[in-house]
Amino acid sequence: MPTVWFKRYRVFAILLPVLVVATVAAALCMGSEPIAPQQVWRILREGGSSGDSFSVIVWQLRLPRMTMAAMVGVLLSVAGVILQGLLRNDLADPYTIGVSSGAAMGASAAVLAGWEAKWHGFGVPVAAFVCAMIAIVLVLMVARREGVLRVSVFLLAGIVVGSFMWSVVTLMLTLAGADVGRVLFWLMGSFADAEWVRIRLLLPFAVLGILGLRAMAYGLNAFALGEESAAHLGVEVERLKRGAIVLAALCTAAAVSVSGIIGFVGLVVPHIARRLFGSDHRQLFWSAAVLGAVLMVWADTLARSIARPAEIPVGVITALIGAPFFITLLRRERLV
Amino acid sequence: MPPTAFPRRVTDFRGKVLTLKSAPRRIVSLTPGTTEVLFAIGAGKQVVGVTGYCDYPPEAKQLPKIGDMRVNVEAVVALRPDLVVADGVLNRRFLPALERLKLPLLVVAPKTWLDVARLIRLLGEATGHEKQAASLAQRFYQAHHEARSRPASGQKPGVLFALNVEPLPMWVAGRELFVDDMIRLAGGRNVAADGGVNYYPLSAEALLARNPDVIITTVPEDRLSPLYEHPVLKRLKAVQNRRVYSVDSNLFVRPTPRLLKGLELLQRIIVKAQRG
Repeated sequence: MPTVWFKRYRVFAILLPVLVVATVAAALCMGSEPIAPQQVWRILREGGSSGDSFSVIVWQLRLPRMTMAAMVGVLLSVAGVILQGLLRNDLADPYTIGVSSGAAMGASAAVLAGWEAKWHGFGVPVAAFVCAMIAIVLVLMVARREGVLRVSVFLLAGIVVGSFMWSVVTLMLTLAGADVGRVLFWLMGSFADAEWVRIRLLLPFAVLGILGLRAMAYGLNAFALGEESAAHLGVEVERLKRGAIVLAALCTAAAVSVSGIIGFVGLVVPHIARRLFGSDHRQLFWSAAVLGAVLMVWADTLARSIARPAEIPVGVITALIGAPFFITLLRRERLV
Repeated sequence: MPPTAFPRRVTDFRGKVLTLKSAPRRIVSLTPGTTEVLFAIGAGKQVVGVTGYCDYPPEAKQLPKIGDMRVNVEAVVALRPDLVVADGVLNRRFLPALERLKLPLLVVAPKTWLDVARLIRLLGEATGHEKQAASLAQRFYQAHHEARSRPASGQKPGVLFALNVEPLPMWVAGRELFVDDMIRLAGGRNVAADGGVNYYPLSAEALLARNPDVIITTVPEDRLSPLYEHPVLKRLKAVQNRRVYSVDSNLFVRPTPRLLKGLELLQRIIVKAQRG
């Protein structure tokens, strides 16, 4: 770690591990059935073998849920960093530009077609990825004219493409005779179905997302100066753009196919990460990943605690945090 | 039975008074439950419009449809009804429109076992079949009374009534539902009653902590396998002791005389669970 960087951001760099530990502790102790920290500690040291109900709650419910939430947080934040860097726009995130809805459309279609067991469980993420790519390419085509990406058009295009894809989801579910209410609960984002099997499915995507973003770090840094300057700095601009689009769609698709649509995380986290640890993508790739995981785990912990014993969709919590944040950014950009 | 003593005034579940000049001959029923009750009390011949979900008794399926859970208000008006029977919860989005059109509207909103008896009697009075309705309602009062006076024998088994088993969370019956009442009348304890009203999503950890002895679900038997495979659900007492029962949802979720059958079924299940 470069010393200059560390000197500048040391306060947060020291606080970050504390935050991570506190998050893990909260996620394991809080929930429908609060469990005291010392008891959680004892359960963790005993291992998962005891059939005691608190032990099952910690080992079989909270640990997989926390892990899955953390990974989805990583994926969405990485996608957010890539999209914001690529589009040089503070308001981009998989949700606002309609990529999440595209992925949801693909995932729902795959589930309705009975693809869940296809390709060792990768059938649903692949379908989600294809439709996420379609969504992102559509948005770019609409918003781009004469090589210039217009910010206002771009946001509107995202909304339109997103709503269109979302309507297709609702239509498909209704025509298939699915119980729309319950499926919508899942699509609104939930980790209630977290299981280790699904986490294994997610792991390669999370690793690929982080490493891919690290590999693009130099290019994205140069890109911040404008496409032309980046080209002068030796970045292969077109290749970088294609790679970034594919990686963002891949991360979003993986996240959506296990947990539905969870908005605003990809928007909020990169901003916080830049504020705390600087906007150099060589740092941002890990800081956004860690903070994304932390934020998502907190959101899920609240989702299963505040209405107990009922659950609320985690997307509701992230929207409650994210929407005001989005408005603040919009105002700063002087777009409204 | 010939209708007696009209005009008459009836008060619906909202407390609104409706004056009926004569026995209605063009009734439109906006829920499967009310359709079923109308047929059960002998007013089936007076019904001219039902919903696409009204599948019981079979004769009801032949009648003109006025929509499904979404009421097509125009179709209701076109049938020129002299009585519209609606549910205060299921049809709530359409009540203002129906009222604006000055249709003779009777709104029911049964939340408890005894409310169902009240509903049956109300429809009896409104249609001129009060005697048949009263004897049917009597069976509800009777069941209520018998359950109340039965001596409490040992532990009350914990019962969960669930609408799905996957994807989690499970949607379960809370308070203010007649299923909740029925579980109690049958000698059980609704483990999800404290969590909320109506059906709500119960978190898996709360489910595990409440660990029901019996799970009643409307999911068909051949789709229950997730219960036996999920790492957490398979640890539930009800799952381990094979006390998961698939039931016909019509015996539990519609406010109709068939609830009496549902209650009997529930009593048998609960007695079996008590014997261990």
